[in-house]
Amino acid sequence: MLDQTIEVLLVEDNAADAELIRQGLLQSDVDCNLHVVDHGGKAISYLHREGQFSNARRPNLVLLDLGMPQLDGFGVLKHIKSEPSLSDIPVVVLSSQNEPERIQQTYELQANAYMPKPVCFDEFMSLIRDITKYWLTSVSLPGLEPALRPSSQAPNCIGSR
Amino acid sequence: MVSVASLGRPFELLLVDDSPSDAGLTQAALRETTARINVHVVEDGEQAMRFLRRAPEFANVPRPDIVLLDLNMPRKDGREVLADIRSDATLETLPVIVLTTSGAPEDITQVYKLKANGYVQKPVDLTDFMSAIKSLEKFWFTYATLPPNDG
Repeated sequence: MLDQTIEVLLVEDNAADAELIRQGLLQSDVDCNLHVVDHGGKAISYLHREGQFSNARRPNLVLLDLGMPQLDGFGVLKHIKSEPSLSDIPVVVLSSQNEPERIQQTYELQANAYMPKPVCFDEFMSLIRDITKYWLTSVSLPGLEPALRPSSQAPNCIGSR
Repeated sequence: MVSVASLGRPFELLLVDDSPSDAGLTQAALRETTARINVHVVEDGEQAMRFLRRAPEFANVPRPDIVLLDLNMPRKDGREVLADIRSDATLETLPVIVLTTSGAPEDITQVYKLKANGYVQKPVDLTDFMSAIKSLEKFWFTYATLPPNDG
């Protein structure tokens, strides 16, 4: 059986949160590569393999913090979901601002899911474990080889900036 | 975090599956979950759309918070249901998880392009099946926030 590593792109401008997510993924037993960008523009360059990202691999999943204005999370979401070459990539949105209108707008822009960012560390870690379990194990992601189930080998999650 | 307490009512889940045994299995798995979930079952895509649009025989049904949708069904298949849901302004943000025996990459890509929220291949093994449903339930009813549903 061909084992294929799951490519995850994290768009997150908070370095501490990015590190928590990286640690959480490392603790899971899923074979994945985590790539982190801290800016909306970089996310789009990454997805189009432009410039410094010319060797980037197409993500099978995007975790996107709606975050602060310069991150332009909504812009990244709109771009992915309107671009035919990218629109199948699931985007799971994480946000600290949870007004109903914002949530509604996120789903209208075709985010695959909306998750409020937990405030405390333990909640955060258990969220990451359960996201991992659902999105990287139960869910079939586009762009992976058939009959693939993520490897149960030793954790192998490489973070890069 | 959205919980049943904050929602103030059970979650309403529409299960669309033409296999009575698979539907039964899914319902059994959902009964073991911690969230309070009312499961409504229809057997094909046409019934699914009639349910969602509250056709006369479904006049008093609640609007679902989430749909679990089989792909290959007679009369109207899951792909058509997805297209119908996403093109209907009153339904377009309804979370739809495709739950199907198919693992074909073309199906997976097509379903995501049709804007399903997720794709779960039904595990063959019973324990794995229960585990997948639990994981789905935990994500959607504990961690994720569903779009506002005014019924």
